Amino acid sequence: MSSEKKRYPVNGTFELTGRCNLSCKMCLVRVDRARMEELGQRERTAKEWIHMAEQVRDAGTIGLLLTGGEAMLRPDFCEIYEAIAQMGFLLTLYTNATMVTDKVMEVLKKYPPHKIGVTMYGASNETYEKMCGCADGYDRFAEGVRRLSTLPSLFDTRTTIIKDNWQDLEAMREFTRREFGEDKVLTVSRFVTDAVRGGICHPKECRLSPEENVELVHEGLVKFYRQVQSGEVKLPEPKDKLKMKRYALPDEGRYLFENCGAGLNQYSISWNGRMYACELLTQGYTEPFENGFIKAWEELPEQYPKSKPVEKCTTCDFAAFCGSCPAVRMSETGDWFGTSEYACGEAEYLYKILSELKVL
Amino acid sequence: MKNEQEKCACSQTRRYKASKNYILREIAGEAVLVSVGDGVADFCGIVNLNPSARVLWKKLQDGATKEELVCELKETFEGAEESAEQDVEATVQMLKERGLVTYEQ
Repeated sequence: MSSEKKRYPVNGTFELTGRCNLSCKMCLVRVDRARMEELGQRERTAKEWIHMAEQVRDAGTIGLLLTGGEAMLRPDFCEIYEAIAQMGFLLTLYTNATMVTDKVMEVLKKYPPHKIGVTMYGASNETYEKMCGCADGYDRFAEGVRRLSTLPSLFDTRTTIIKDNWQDLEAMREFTRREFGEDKVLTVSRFVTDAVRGGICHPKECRLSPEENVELVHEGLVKFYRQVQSGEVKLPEPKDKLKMKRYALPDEGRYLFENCGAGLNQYSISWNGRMYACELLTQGYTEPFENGFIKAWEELPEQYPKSKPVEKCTTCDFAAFCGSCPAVRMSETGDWFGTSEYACGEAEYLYKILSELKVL
Repeated sequence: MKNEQEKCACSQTRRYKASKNYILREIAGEAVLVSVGDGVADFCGIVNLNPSARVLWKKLQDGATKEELVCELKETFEGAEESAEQDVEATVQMLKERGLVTYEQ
């Protein structure tokens, strides 16, 4: 790393648990007690997380995200939260909002997080049951959101769309506008990858097809494309052709995640106490609870191979539209430099649309 | 005029104290204040402190009069004699307006 960028552990993620009260089909992370036992791994105690927070504070972390699984599922969530919230982090809390008890609200009122990221999975109990195995999930979510909304925290509403909840997307957007304000946007996950770190779900089996995902993520563009196809809109003569930069991994020999900053100014500590450059990883970790945060942070870049060109990608016409990164490549193919068929399919479809719109 | 003099004398003996709703952090060599607790309702972010503001905040954590703050600046920074009073006045005013310090007589 000597010739590379100076690293600071500015932003961190604490995945307090891998367990969740919901059983969402597409979850990348969720484990249950049986899987934890099978993996021979345990969750870290409240005392361990609080001590880790002191270490990351002293090392200069300013932005700290507390997440899961569902962090509020831990009986000692309030104890962990209350201690960490007094340490002076810009604190973000991710939750599915279905477990916002009086006890949780009491501690959140005392120490509001700066930001709350609420994940929404549907706009009805039926969708929650189909997608998350929770028959009153929507009611519990809506009640939780109403309680959390009384806090002064900033809000961010997010969702992951799969085949089971795509039909609810507009209603979920409407909920977001109604509860949080007309200017608030529901953020949709860009890419559903395979499970990580021993997660028990099978996201690949329920995710949208590559073409459907393009239609979701590039909704406006695809709508325009359909209008042109049907003759509803006449395609104007484009003034300029799009000049796309070919997607590339960092130059050969450089740090693998140089393009996104994972492991350079951010890190993630998983429920079982391993430090990763990014929360989408299973391979390549250090052990901050065993060796201390500073040593784990310093040794993190050595856990990943140096970048190298991928021949299929360097000659690919669609590479400029590719949504994969090293973490996605690894998750999809088991190889840091593998090519994901899913990402290739998406890129090809997007290329086709833009070609037919004569902007390439 | 008498009232003004009284007011001045009064404000000289006021002890200012940093609000407990803001925590001083050192991030990548920079001093910043982060809001916590009730502070999040008033300000959901961080305040960057320049070197003199950092010195003043540290002093304010235990409570200090403006006079003591001026002394602290003069002792810490060479050549601060001329501007110290003005700097303290401006900084305390800014912190007061934003609720980052409280004071007692």
